[in-house]
Amino acid sequence: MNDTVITIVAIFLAAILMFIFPLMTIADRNDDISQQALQTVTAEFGNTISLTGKITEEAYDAYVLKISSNSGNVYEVEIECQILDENPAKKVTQVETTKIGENVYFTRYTSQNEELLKQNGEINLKEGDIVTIRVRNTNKTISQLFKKVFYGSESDYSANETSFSTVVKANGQG
Amino acid sequence: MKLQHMTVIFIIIVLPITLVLSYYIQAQIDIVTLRQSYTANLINATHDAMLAYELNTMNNEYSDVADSKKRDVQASINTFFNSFVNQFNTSGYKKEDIEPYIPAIIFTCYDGYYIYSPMDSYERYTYEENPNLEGEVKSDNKKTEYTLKPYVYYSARYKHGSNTDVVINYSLDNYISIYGELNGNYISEAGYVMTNNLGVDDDNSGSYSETVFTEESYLQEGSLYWDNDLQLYIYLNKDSGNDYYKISGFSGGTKPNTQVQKKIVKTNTSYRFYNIDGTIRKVYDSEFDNDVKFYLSGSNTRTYIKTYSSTYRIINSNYPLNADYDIPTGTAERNRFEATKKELIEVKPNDYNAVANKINQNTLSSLKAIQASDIMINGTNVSSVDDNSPYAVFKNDNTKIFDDTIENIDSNFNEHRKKVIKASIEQNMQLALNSYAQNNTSLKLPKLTEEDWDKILNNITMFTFMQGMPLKNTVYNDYVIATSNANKDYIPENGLYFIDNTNTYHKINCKTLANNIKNRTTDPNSLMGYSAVEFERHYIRPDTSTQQTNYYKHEGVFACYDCIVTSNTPELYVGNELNIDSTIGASAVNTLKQKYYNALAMARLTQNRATKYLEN
Repeated sequence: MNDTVITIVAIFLAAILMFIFPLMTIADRNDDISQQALQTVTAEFGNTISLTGKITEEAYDAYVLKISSNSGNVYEVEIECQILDENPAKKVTQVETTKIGENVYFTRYTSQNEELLKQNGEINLKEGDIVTIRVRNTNKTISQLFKKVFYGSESDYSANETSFSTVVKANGQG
Repeated sequence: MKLQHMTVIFIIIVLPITLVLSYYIQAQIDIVTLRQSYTANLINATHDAMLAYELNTMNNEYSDVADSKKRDVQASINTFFNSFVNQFNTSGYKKEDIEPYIPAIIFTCYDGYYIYSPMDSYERYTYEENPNLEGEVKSDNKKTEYTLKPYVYYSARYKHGSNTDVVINYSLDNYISIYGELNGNYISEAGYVMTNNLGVDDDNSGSYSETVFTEESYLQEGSLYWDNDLQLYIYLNKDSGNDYYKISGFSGGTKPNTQVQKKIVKTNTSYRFYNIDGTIRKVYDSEFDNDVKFYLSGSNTRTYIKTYSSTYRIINSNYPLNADYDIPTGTAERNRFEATKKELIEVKPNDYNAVANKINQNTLSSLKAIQASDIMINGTNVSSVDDNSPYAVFKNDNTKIFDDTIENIDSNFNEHRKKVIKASIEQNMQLALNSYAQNNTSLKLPKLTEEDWDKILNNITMFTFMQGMPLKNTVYNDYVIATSNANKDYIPENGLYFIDNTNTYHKINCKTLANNIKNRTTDPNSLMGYSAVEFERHYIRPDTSTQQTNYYKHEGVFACYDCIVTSNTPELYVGNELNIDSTIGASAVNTLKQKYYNALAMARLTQNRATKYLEN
C-alpha cells in the first residue's frame, strides 16, 4: 500500500517537474520577451512621433500590427496628447515683460485622437507637446493561465504592459 | 530505471539549461533597455543642441556674419556633448570619453553645411627644437583632433560648351549664387530664380511715359454689378466690340466719370497677372486722381479698364438694377452681358518681383541651356565618376535645370537642387567617416530613409552619428536628425503667421480664419503676415545699465487654437497651389494668396545670407 502511494506521488511529482515546470518557465520567459519587444516597438514609435511631429494613420496601424504580430497577444493601445498652450504665458508677459509665466497643457484623449486620425489621416503636433502611449495586453497568456491554475491567482494584471512618454521636438505641419 | 531516478536526471539536465536561458534572456533585455536609454539620450542631446542654436541666433544681430555663425554652430556642438554626458549622471563621462564614438556631426544651414569630425594633425618642429627642421612635420607625433571643418556650400560646377563654366550655389529655396563665365561673359550674381512662365513681358522698370503709348482707349462708361459673391463686373469697351470682364478682389466705387480724358500714367505702377481668354496678361493699376485705373498691357498698346475707388452699392440678385450705373437692363443686353462676361482669373502672383531680389532675366535665359549632366567633379565631367559615387545620379541626365516651371514643387530645378545637396552631403559624410574609421573598414555610412532626406533638404538640421559605443557585449550604432523650428536663417513656406483684426494669429490655410472671412468677422485685407520666429520670446537689453527684458515682439496677439495650438490645418499646398478654402470666394482667396506671397517675400528678404552683397 505504501509503495503504491509513494509511486503515485512520485509519478505526480515527475509529471510536474518534467512537464509543468519547464512549460511554466518557458511561458514566463516568453512573457519577458514579449514585454521587451513591446517596449522596443513602442519606444521606436514614440521616438518617430517626437522627431517628426506627427502621428500618421499608416504609422499607427503599422505599430498596432507589429505589437500584435510579435507575440500573438491582443493589446489595448492608449495615446494621449498633451497640447501646449502658450497663450496664458503671453498674457502674463504682456503685463510684466520680465516674468516668464506658465504655459498650460490640455489633454486630448485616445478616442479623440483616433477620431482625428480617421478624419484627417494624420495628427499634427508642435514642438513642446507631450505624447504618452500606454499599451497593455487584454488576453490571458499561457503563463497567466498556469499561475491561475497552480497559484490560484485571479488578478487582472496584464502580463505585458508598457508606457512611453516623450516631448515632441519638431513641428509636424507639412 | 525507476521513474524518480529519471526525474532526477531530467531535472539535472533541464535546470541548468533553464537557468542559462533565463540569464541570456535577461542579458538581452538589459541590452535592449540600455540601447533605448542611449537612443533617448542621443535624441535629447541633439535636440538641446538645436535649441541652443536657435536661442543664440535669435538674439544675435550678427548671425549672418560667417565667423559669428561658426561660433553659434560650435556652441551648439558643445551643448550636444554637455547634454549627452550629463545624462549619464553617475557614470562620470566627459566630452573626451564620448568624442571617439561620434564619427561626425553635420549641421546643415541655409546654403551649406558644417561637418564636425576628427582629423589627424601633426606637430611641427619649432626653431628651438631643431633649427634645421623648423616647420617640418613631426611624423611620429600624430594626434587626432575634433574640429569644425570649413563651411561647404551646396554648390556644383557646370561646364556647357566652350563659353560657359559656372559654379552655382544652391540653397533650401530658389535662391542661388552664380559665379563664372556664362556665354563668354563673367558674372557674379545672387538672387531668387523666378520665371515669367506666364508668357508676359517682364518690365522691371515699372514706369511708363506717354510716348510709349500708341493707342489709348477709355471706357465711355462703367457698368458695375455686384453679385452674391461680391465680385465686381467691369464693362470693358474694347476696340472691336463689347466684352465684359469680371475682376475679383476689388472694392467698390461711385458712379463712373464718363468724360474721356487723356492722362499721363504715373510711374512705379504695380501690376497683377490675369488669365484672359487663355492668355496671360499683365494688368496694371495706377492712381489716377480719385479713380483707380486698370489697363491691359499689349505689345505697344494699352487698353484701359476704368474702375472706381469709392464705395459701391451692393446689389443682390433680388435687388433691382440701378439705372444710374448704366447696367444693361434690357433682356437682350443683359443676356449678352451674361453670355460674354469673362472672368479675369488672377494667376499665382509673382509678388517676389515686388520685394525680393531676383536673378537677372538675361542671366536666367543664358542658364536655360545648362543640363544636369554638365556637372564637373574634380575638373572632369560627371560621366567619368565611379558608379558608387553620390554624383553618379547625374550621369546621362540631360534634364534642363532652369526650365519655365522653377517655382513648382516638382520642377526640374527643385529636383536637381535636392540631388546636388544630397550628393554633396553624402560625399563629404563618407570622407569624414573614412577619416574617422582609419583602418576599420567595417564602419559604413547608415542608409538614410526618404523621410530623413526630406527633413534635411527642407530645414536647418543637425545630424549626429554615434558608432561603436560599448553596450554590454555588443556596440551601439545609431543616428538622429533634429530640425530647427524657429530660426532666422531660413523661413520655410509653412513658417508664416498672419495677424487678423481680432488680434489672433493664424496660418494662411486655417479653417477658423476661413470661417471668419465667410462670416465677415475678419477682413482678409486686414491680415498682416510675419515669420513664425517673430512670435517667439526674445530678449533685449535696453542699455548697458539696465537688466535684460524678455518680451514678445507682437504684444497683445494670441495664437489661434485651431491652426497654431492644436496644429489642425490641412497641407499648405495641393499640387503647386496654395490650399486655401475656395468657399470664401475668389476675391478673398486671391487676397489671401497675395498676402501670403508678400509676407513670404518680405520674410525671405530679411533672412541671414552671406551672399547679400552680390544681390542686385
